[in-house]
Amino acid sequence: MNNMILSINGLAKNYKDFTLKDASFEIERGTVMGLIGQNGAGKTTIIRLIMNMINRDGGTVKVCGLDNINDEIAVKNKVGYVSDESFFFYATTLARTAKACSYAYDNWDADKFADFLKKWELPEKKKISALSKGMQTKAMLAVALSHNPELLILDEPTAGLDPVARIEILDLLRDFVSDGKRSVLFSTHITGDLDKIADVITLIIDGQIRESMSIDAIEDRYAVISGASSKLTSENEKYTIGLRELNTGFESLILRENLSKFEGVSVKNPNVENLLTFSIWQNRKESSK
Amino acid sequence: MTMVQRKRAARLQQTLYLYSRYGRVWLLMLLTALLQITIITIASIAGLNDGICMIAPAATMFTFVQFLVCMFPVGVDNDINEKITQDAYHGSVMPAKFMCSLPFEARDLLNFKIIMWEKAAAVNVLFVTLGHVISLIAESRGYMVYRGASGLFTIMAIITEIICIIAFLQKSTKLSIFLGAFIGFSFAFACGIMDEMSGMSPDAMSSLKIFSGVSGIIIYIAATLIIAAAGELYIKRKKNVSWNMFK
Repeated sequence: MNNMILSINGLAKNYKDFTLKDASFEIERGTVMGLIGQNGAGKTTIIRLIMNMINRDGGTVKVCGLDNINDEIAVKNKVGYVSDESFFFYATTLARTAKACSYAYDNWDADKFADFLKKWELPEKKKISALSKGMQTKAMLAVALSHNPELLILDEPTAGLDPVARIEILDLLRDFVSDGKRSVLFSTHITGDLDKIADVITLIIDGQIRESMSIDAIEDRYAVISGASSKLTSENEKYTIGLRELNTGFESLILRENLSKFEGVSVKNPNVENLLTFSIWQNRKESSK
Repeated sequence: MTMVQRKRAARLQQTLYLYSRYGRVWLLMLLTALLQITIITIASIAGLNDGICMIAPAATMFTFVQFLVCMFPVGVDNDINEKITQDAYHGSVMPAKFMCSLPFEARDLLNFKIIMWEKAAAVNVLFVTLGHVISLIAESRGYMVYRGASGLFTIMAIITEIICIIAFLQKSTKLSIFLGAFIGFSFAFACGIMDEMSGMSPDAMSSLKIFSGVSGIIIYIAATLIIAAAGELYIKRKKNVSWNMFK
């Protein structure tokens, strides 16, 4: 069995005002990958390209070794997709949706779907328009999981959910990958969720993949430093990533290998949020030059 | 279209039928067909006598309404298809993302539309056949539906229509097209012959009757051929179609 469940290589998409450039990353089986970046960075574009919802301008996408366009049907049978907003037909019911899915998917498991509905107290016969946002997200997840996918792709699924629902969904994702054969690609703004469940994060800034690394490697590779403004010199400033100058001093992300350039500063381990925010600030700084 | 493509398109149809307002298109089609058959029946039973010879061809022309209904979803451009599917089956809230996440190809959607057209054509032919059966009954009651040897003509039409339905049941697009063309030209030919056989009628409406009958069938067949050929050609030429949801 191919250990890479998703391989993206040189993926490109050009819009008038946005370009996704040479995006490449891989997801191993049994891992949860968090796809992070600011609004408009290209996260949803990557997901739509994986799902072949839009035409790519370059590169390849392979799911379980299969090309997502040439083997579209096989790939979609292996992928469960949860959109950032409810994609259901509001005028219908979950029972009818499940019936439709049973025709579409090769491996649709009606019992599993019924179990999810029961577990999450989702009304089968009620119109989807009458369900709350949280319920609709859970329903999307139930549909995505009930055809036994190998890869689950979630586009900001926890946005707008109450804390209990969020934790339940995160637990479910953790369970999903626990057998070591399946994986999750999870795009989100809520970096706290990634601290809880992600094994790997991929950072995308302005249509370019900046990092794709294990979450543990963030601490090995980076550090967050803070200190008095006097500790920041023209010499060491060039080693900062996303420098924030405050009234009380400065704060910045740096590569851990450059720690020796800074003396008398306090050092702490970065989390996903630090990596994301400092990278965005660095990008703004570079763009404004 | 191969059998595999046809199977996939049929699965898409089942999915769409359950998940959309697609059934309404069919309902509209059946209603128009029902209206058609009702007109023929009333005309036959009420005994409009010679006037009925205008009604039957006119009713045949009326099948064009059903064709219009079916022509829209067929389309030839995938971008247009996407929008049309949205409009035709789901109103303004079509869950395009949901459709795109399901294991179907855009090609399945195109194939599905061809199949839908075929079914529409079959429904049309079925009702036209019923119309002819009723015309035959009307003939037996002493009304003159078609001038001259109209009984023979109607029986021939019924036979060819039944063959066309069998072709559809056999799920062969090429056979359907061939037989559709055969029926159309047979009709046109027969109408001309019948007129010749019955001699130049003193009826001032004679040429109009023939025109309405022949033109109805010709339009029917032309629409059949154009839609089917365009759809098939498009699928063959377009190697890599995409849902093109967001461009």
